[in-house]
Amino acid sequence: MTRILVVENDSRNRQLYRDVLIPLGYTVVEAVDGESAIPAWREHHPDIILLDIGLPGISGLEVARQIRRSEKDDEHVPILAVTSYTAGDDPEKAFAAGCDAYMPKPVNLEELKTKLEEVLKLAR
Amino acid sequence: MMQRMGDMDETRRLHERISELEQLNTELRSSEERLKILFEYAPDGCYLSDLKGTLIHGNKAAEEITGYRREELIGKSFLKLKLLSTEQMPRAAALLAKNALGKSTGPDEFTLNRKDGSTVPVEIRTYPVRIGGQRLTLGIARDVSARKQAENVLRERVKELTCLYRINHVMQQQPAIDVLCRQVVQLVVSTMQFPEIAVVVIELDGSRYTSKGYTEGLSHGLHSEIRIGKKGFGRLSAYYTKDKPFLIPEEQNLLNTIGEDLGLWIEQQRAEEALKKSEEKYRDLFENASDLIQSVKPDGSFAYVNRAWRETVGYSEGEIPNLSLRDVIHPDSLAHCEEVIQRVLKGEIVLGVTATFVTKDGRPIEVEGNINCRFEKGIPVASRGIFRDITKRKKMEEELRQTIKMKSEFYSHVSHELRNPLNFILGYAQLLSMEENLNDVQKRFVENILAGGERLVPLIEDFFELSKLDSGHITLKRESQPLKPLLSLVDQDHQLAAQAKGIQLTFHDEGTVDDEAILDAVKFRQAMDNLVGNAIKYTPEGGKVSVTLTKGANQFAIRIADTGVGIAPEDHDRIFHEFVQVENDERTGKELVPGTGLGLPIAKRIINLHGGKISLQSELGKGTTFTVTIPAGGEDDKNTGRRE
Repeated sequence: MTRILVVENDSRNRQLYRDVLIPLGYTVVEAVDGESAIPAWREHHPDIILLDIGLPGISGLEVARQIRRSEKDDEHVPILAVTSYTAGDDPEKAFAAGCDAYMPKPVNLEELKTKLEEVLKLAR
Repeated sequence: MMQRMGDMDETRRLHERISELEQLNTELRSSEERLKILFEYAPDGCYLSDLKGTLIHGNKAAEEITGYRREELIGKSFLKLKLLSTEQMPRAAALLAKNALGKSTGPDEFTLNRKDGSTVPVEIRTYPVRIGGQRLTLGIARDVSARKQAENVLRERVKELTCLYRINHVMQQQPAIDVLCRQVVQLVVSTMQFPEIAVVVIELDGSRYTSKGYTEGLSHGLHSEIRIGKKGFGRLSAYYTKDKPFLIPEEQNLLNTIGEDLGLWIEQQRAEEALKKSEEKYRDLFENASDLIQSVKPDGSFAYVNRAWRETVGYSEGEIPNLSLRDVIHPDSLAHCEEVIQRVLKGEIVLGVTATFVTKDGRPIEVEGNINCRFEKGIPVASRGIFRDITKRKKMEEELRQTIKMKSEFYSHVSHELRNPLNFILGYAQLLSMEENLNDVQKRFVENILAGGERLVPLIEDFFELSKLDSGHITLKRESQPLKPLLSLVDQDHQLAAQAKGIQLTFHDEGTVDDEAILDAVKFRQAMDNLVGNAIKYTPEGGKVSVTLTKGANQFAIRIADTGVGIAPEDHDRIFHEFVQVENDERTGKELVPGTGLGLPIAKRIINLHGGKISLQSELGKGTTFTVTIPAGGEDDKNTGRRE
């Protein structure tokens, strides 16, 4: 079972991701903001993170940077960023912060499925 | 024999003696002749008279000076000949008396009356001589008329020069014109040959200034016109109140010189007066101007500041003389201002200078203006500045910047906030559409939800794009790009949409356009996409859209022409504003063309960022042509990323 950490502040979107990902065979764990994302990552050791960049407070970019800084040399959790293209939120910045892939919001579900598989494959 | 011998010797001695005497006589005769010739042809008039004045002998020159022949003179007393006027007689008698005492005299000046009635000035020297035991007077009279004349000319010239000098001196006192004219007439009178009978008149601009003794009806005078510029303005005249003597050319010359001087002086006075008036007029203009005007001496003190300056900077007129430029320039602005002033003192005119003043109560005032320098004979006298208080403008600009920033933040926020709900609306619609046991009606409902949601996506994207362009933080990633392939791609991208409407979409480049433009290919393509997409959108089925690329001297031009509905003239500016879609449904009776209303504003901003321009020509019902121009070499770096 693949464990996925969904970092998303909007509850309906978290619900959507659960409704999409669980049928695909993922074990979904969640964080509702940037602050709780790091502890959740430490606690659950997810195989992949779906990280919304446009989080209030600590942004998704900062979350990615902190995770990359905290990882040991042999660790690398794949991160798929979901960008809202707001100011200071573009794909290049996501890559620079340590994300492995990105997709724009609103997400296309087919694309989401494909991207997750691609990123996981790269990590293995 | 001896006796005879003695006689013979005597005879010989006698002969020798005779021949000696003859020799002596010959020598004496020739000496006398020489003396006679010398006397006769001496250049001065020479005469011999007895001590009573009776003439005994005279030479040729004496004949010439007096006009009498020698026979008429000899044996007569000069007293009776009336060679001298009665007044001169006592002096002449005194000369003879001196000679009688064995003394020589002279030179003494006399005026001889010639036979023809004319007179001649002479200088006479006398010497007491004794000839044949008789005591006589040798007189030598020299004609000094040439010298006298020269002396007279010199005297007149000195008089003239004195007169001119005095007039000049009076002029330098800057008197009123009537005072000057009255002094000039007096001075000219005293310079005339015969001042006691001379009258001088100045007629000027309807006024008459006369010397003493003026009466109406004087005629036969000398005149000189007083001119100002080339125009006659008055007249300087001189008359003698008696027919004699005649006025001489020298007097005419003097009048001309003075007339000319007067004209020049009046002209100069008038020019100075006009200048003064004009200065007053300008001072008045400066004083009441709304701009800040200052004149600063090279030492930094103020020569002049106008009312607006005093009111803005907060000093009273009385405080200005004790003020220095350093007192009113903000410390942050001082170095820049001093640098500008140095340039200005070297003769440069510096435009668009910005500076910060400090008011008396310490408030900063932003000013912008121009400074130049007034020079007198090459020496800087004062720097002159005219400034505008741009504090308010700066504040407004700052407010505008804030407003734009807020708008940009708002767009960004809205874009973000719209994405979240749209994400789950579309997400669940997608999930629902994947369900296998939906009936046809349900399928149609879900498809409509998806279609509606998807239409929102580009709107949100445009919103975000516009917020980025407006924020001013965008940096173009410029590279040298050949335009032709870029436009070909745009053309290809839209072929499908064009074909769907039966629209003929074509792309030409006129001539060889292999040249490269420096631009951000992604952004520029986005602008072109918006324009071509718009053209297709607003062109009815079966129409034409053509994209043409041309290159001018320094720029590329891209024309996007359609055969669409056209844009009314009153909408030509409006359509570049956000959310303006020209409502064409009333005119065409067709459905409002869907779109975000942000395509053109985005295209315009991108083109402007590239240093380019967009314009349009359109006729309702016939079509629209958008023309985009961008500099061939790309815009200067300083303009990169700047808002339009």
